[in-house]
Amino acid sequence: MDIRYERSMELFRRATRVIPGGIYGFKNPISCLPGASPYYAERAAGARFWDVDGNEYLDFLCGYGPVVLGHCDPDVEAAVRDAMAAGVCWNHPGKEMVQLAERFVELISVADWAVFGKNGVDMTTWAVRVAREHTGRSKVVIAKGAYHGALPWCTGYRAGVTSADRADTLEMQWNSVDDLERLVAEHPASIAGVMLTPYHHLFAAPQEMPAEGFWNAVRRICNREGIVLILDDVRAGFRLGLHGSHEIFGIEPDLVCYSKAIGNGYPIAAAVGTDDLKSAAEAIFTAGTYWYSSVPMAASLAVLRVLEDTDAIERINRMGRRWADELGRLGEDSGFRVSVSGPPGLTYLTFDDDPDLYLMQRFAGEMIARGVFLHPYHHTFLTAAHTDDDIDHALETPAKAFEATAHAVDHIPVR
Amino acid sequence: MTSSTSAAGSLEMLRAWIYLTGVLPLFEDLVLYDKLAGAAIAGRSLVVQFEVRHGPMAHLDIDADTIRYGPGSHPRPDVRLMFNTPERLNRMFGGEQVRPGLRKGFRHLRFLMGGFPTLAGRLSYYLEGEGSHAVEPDDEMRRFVVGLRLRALLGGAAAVAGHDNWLSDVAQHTPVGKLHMKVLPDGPQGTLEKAVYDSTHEFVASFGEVADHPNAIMEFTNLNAAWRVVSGDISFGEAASLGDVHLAGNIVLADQMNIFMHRLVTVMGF
Repeated sequence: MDIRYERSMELFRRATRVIPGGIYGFKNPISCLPGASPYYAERAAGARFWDVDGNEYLDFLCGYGPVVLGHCDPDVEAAVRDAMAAGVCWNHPGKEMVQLAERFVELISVADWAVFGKNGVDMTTWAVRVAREHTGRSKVVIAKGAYHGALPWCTGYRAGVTSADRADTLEMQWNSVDDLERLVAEHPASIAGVMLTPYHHLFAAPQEMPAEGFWNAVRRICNREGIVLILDDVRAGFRLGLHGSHEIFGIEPDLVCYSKAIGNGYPIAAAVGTDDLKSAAEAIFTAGTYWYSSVPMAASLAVLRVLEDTDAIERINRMGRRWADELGRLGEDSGFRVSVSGPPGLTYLTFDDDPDLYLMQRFAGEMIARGVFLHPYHHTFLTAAHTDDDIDHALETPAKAFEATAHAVDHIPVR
Repeated sequence: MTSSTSAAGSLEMLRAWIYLTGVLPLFEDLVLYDKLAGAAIAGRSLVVQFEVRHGPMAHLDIDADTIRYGPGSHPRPDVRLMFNTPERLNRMFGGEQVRPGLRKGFRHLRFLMGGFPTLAGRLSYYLEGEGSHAVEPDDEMRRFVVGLRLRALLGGAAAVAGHDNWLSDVAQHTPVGKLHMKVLPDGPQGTLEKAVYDSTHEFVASFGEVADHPNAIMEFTNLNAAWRVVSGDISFGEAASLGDVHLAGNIVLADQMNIFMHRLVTVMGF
C-alpha cells in the first residue's frame, strides 16, 4: 500500500463493509490504478483537486468531463447560490427551464426544442424512445464499444441484464458504412434509430475519428430508410465548440443528447431535436423527481453564458493541442513509439508497442505520483481554468514519468 | 440471482461442462495431497470415461496412485459411464448416489460405488466444505486449497465462457489474449486464454505453467491474500483495491474474464 493513500485505503476498507464493492461503477479503484491512485477526493478548485490524504493534483480528468470552466467556477457558483436561496425542489418547474430551452434552441442549429434530465443516459434512453414513437419501430443501432450509459439496453456489462433488455440493440463497427447497411438489410423496416457519438471515444483504447464521408453516408442511409439519427454528444458537447460537436464534424442529426460540460459539475442533461420529432417527444412520458430543479438549470445558463462571452473553448482547444503535441514529442524523445488520439483537450496517449497498456498504466501511475492526474484508460478533459503555466508545469512531468516507465520495461510483458 | 440461462436444462448442461472440464482435473491434485482420496485409488489401474448425452466427455486415467485427466474420449477406457441427462452427472458430483448407465467396466463396479464417491466427497470438502474454510490451516493446506480453487476457477471460467448461453455475447466480445493468475512469490499459478482457431474462438485454461507474454496479470501478493479471496472473505475487486492483488495489462480482458469467474461462483456456489 502506498503511504500517500492511507486515508483513501481506510475509507475504502470501511466502505467494503457497507457498500457493495466499496465504490461502484467506473469510479471503482480497479477501473483506474488500484493502490497507485487516490480513491476519495476532499475538495477541488480551478484546475486542481485534493484527495482525502491531502495530496494535490493538477486535474486532467475533471470529474470525467463535466467540469469545463474549472472546479468551483465563481460565475456558476454565484448562479447556483442564488437559485438555491429560492429553494431546491418545488412543485413546479421554474423560469430557468424555459430560459435554458430557449438558449439551446438559439445555440444549436438542429434544435427546435429541448428537454432536460440529470445524466447523459436519461437523454440517450429518452432519445431512443422518441425515435421509436416517431417511427413505430423498435430497434436501435449503436457502435461496438460505445458508451451511452449504464442502463440495460446499452451497457456493456451483463450482470443483472436480460436477453430481452438487449434484444432491440444492434451493434455496428464504428466507421463501417457496410456494417450499417448490413444491419439495415437484416432488419428491414425495424430500425428506429442510429445512435452514434461524433467520434468513437473508447475506454482503454485509441480514440477513432470519423472516416471521410462516414457521417454523410450514415445520414443518407437514415434518410433512405426513415431512421432517426441520434447524436450522443454527452461527452464532447460544448467542449469542441459552442454550437455542439455536429457543427465541427459536419453532422446533421435529428436528435442530440448533451450532459457533462453543460453544467460544470451540476447534474443536468439535455436533449434537443427537430420539429419533425416534436410530437413524438411530447407523447413520451418521462420524468424524475429532481429533473425539474432550477438549481442545475441556473448553473447551465451560467456555463453557456461564460462559454459564449469568453474564449474558454478556444483556450481549452489551444492548450489541449499543445499538451497533445508536446506529450507525443516527449514520448518519442524518451525512445517510445507513442500516439496521442482524439480532438484537442480530449486526447488519450497510447504506447504503440503495448496494446495491453502495461506501459500506460505505469506511465499514468508515475504522472499521478508526481501530482498530474492522468487516467490510464480514459482520455483527458481540460478546463478553462487550466492556464498556460499549468500546462508548462504538467509538461515538466512526462519526461520523468517516461524515464521511470522505461526503467520498468524489463519487468513488463510488453511485446 | 439476477441473471438466468434461457432454460433450466441449459443451466444443468453448463454445470456438466464445468464438472467435466473444470472440476474433474482437480482429482489429479487431490489424490496427491489428501490421504483419504489417495487411499481410494490405491492399487487401482483403470481409465474411467464420463459421457453426457449430447454434452461433454472426459476421462480419468488412474494408475500408480496418481490420476491424469484428459478431455474428450479415451481410445481404450476400462469404464464408460453414460449420463443420459446432465442433471444426473451433476447430482453425482454433488454427492448423491446416482447410477449412471454403465456401458463398459462391470468388473470395476465396486470402485465406482465406493471409491469414486469418496473422491468426490473429498473434493467437495476442500471446495465447499470445512476444508475451504478451515480456521487455522497450515501453510501446506493453505497452498493446496488455494491451488485447487484457483485451478477450479480457471477451468470453470473457461467452461462458462465456452458454454454459457447467457454470456455468449460477452464471450464473443472478450478480447483475444491470456490472463495469467499467480500467487506470489512462487505460485500456484495458471492461465485463462481466449484463442482463435480458424475464425472461431475457444477458451482454454491451463494450470501450473508460467505464461509467456500474458496480456493481463492478476497477482496475489502472498498466500494469505489468495486464501482470503478464495475462501470468499473478500472479492477480487476489493482485494485489488486494498493492494492484495496486483492487476496489470489489458484491463478489458481481465474484466471480462472476471465476469466468467463471477458467473461460475453464481452457478456452482464455490
